Amino acid sequence: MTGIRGGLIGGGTRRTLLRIGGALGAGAFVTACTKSGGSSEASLPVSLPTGSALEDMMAAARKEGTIVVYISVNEQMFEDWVKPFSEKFGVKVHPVNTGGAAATFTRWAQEWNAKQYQADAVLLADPSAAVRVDKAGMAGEWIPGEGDKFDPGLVIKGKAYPLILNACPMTWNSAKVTAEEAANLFTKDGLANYAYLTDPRWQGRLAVLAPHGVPIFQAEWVRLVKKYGWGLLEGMARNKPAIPSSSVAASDQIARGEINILAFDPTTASALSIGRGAPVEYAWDDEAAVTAFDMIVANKAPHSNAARLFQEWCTTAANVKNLCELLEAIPGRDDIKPATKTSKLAWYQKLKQPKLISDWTTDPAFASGTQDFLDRWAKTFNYKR
Amino acid sequence: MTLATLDTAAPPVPAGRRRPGARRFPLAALWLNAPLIIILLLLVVMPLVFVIYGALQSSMPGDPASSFTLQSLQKVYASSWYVSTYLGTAALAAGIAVSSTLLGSIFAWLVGRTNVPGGGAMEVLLIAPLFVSPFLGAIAWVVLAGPNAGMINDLYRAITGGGPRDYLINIMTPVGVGFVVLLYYTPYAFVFVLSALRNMDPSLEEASYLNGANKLQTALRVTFPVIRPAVGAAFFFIVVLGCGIFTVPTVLLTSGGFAPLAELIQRSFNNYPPQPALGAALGTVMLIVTSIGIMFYRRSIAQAAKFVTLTGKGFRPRPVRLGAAAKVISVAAMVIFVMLGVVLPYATLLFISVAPYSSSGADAIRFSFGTWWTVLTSASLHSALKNSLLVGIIVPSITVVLGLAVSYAVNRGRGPGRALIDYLSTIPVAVPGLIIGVGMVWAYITTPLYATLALLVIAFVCEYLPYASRMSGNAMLQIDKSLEEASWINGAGKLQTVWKVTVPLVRQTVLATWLMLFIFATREISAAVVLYSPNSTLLSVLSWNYESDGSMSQAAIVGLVQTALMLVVAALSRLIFRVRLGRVAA
Repeated sequence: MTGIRGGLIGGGTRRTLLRIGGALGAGAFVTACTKSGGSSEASLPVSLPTGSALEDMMAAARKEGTIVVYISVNEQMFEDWVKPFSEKFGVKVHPVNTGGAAATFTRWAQEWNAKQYQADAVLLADPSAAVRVDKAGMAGEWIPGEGDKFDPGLVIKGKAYPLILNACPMTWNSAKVTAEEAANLFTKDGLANYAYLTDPRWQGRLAVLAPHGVPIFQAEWVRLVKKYGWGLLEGMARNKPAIPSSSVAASDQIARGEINILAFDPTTASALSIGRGAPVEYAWDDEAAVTAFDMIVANKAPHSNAARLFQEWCTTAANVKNLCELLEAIPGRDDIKPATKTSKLAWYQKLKQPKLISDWTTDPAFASGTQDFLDRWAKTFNYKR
Repeated sequence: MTLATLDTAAPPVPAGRRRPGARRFPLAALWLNAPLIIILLLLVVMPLVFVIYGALQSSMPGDPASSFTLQSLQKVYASSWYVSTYLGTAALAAGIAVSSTLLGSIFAWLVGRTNVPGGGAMEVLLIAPLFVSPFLGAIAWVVLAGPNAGMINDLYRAITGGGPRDYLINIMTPVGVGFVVLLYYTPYAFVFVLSALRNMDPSLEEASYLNGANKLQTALRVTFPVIRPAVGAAFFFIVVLGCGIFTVPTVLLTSGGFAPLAELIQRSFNNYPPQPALGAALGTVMLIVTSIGIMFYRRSIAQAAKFVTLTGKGFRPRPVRLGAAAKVISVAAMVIFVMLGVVLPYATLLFISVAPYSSSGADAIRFSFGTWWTVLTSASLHSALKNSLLVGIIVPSITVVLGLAVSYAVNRGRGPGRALIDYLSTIPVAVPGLIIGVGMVWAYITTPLYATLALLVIAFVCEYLPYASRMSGNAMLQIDKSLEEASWINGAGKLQTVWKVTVPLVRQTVLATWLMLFIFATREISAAVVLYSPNSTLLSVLSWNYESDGSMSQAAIVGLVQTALMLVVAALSRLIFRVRLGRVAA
């Protein structure tokens, strides 16, 4: 039998290496298993202090050294966006992609209930969840210096600030859809022609996003049902559409051409591919449900000073604009006009812009009808959850 | 040899030292059996109890307002809504198991019993798909064989002049899922069956030939009956694995309709509104299904043990001579398998990694290495790489030690509780990683272990314990007890005997097991995706997250880094310890 001694490295050297490796590994493991402690919320300011208090806050943030941000947007884009913050304040930002808006809330809520405070800040892509977060006391208080520049209808003052907005147009791969089909995707008024999606030609080419993924999808389906009735959905279901696991997975398949057309797709998802040159186009209906990506400081954040400083940084005009340009998104502040790559494209400039509907988040009928609607949708499209 | 003869033959025992075996039960057994039972109860049984507890709750883990309810169990067991899911999952798992076992057995027979050219190299190549995460394989196969835009179908349309709806292969179907999983589960069957073939006395086949039987008759009438229990064990093992797959269907089955059970469990946590109790209730269904699989699996391995033929004589089996055509076909089949499972997917991942957006058309995109630079310099990758390395080293180390202790207690130990230890240590084979993860969340969310790397380590040790105990158990069975008895006779204590005699004899198998578990821990997604935290993100989870947020090129790059890590550690293990992964089949 060939044993350790039969190896190519001498026994003594090997043992030394193994000992060093073992010690380093044990040290690293203990470090990796260690959690940071939290700070007292009561002693924290609720808005940006001035003078020495500001200096103290920045020093405390630098000492905390890092913040954990739960996100459900592209992790790489987010890292690119926060790099200047880390460089300026010496605070490392650690984004954790939780796997979708619903999963972000679930994870945060279950940790809150169990008193496991992991997140310092959360970019929550679900305004209805932001309301629940506020009611549950999960949000820490911070009033940003430029907080009053955001749409007051979407802000939860001192808690949630909508950095970017998202809406869901009908989206297709312009290389896979013929010119004749592309022409029929618009009504004579230049709006998205949803009725055309019931045409059998889309069998094996159409995809839809389940409303169970994110509330904005449900909101958009509710809007479509109100305008066109369940007949539209039943017609689409007859084409046996694909139901991708997430909007980004759908956008990926649209960009590749695996899916030819999506009933709707969030602009933040498809615009990433469009920005990189993929042959993807979209069209709006006259209205579109819109959702906000709220930045919220977590109550009992383990790194509370750094989290508040981060919230202040996030909400400034320059950084909101940068985030919009990186994610090709609509800004949550009216005073910003981001120069996204999509907005410069010829087909985009011809589009009729929709009326954005944001009050669905506070509509009690919407909330109370959720389960029935989801169940009927699931039955219509034979979708199981 | 009886205790009396041992006493007579033994040299005088030094004063104050007890002769091994002089006092056997119960104290001699307690030092090992009792702690092992406690560890296994905490490690294996507790998370499963919490899955059931979770299924009986009204709210999410850790919610103090959560109350007892049967609602989730009623939905899962008393409605017809999930019947098609159960049947579909069972059919998918059985289909995967049948095809993987058949293919793995044929390859094992070719490598282990015939004169197929390059058998040694083929053995290594056929185990190579174990290095590939099935999830990464699925990402690659979507780009290769998606019906509307897959490379293979694009090529087919270009050659045949077919229309945009024509395609050669559609990987995005349940059959496609089966095909992709087959590529990565066949090596398990290969290892199981090859091991049985190597433990078989070839004189049985020699006798068959001497009695006039031809190759086929001998294979069917002699070889197959002997290895049948191993084939059965492989089949049920893969059935259990197949019931737990969710990463491959998540990537491939986007066409609505059927979603396997494990994917529904994952959806119950990630969908809106979240229903973790429903996920736990579905988990109990999976526990029942896989428990049936494990019952048959245990029966098969018990049968397999009966057929092991250990002799004191060295033997060199006479290989079955294949004709020239058979050799060509055999080698071609194995090479094609490796191409489909390893070469083609990795080539595709490389292609994806340099594309700015997801595309299968090389002419339509501008290649760039910018994404490589961005990913390789990102803090997320560095943190995940460090965590994966730590988990990859710590998990196999703990699991192998625990597995050795279990197999020692079961195969060499005495006293009560051995059957219980054996049973408890086998249970995780029947429990998909996702369910272990769900149970761990419910069990540990209110403890300081939550959101640490340690919790991932605990989950992985639980998941991989059966592999370690089974493999070290196999190695131990092949050691003649007289060697350990000789050590005792010469005055060595029990621990000293284990350390000086037993461990060195099983060392190579143990090291090979360590390496295999390192690979499993590095590519693991199912439990990790439920348990990861800001401080414990692994490469596999990072890749999963990138895929989930539509960044295929980043997902591919992380997957390639993950594979590089596995290869580096495998090469170092070979260099320093001369570990061969193929040893697990020995």
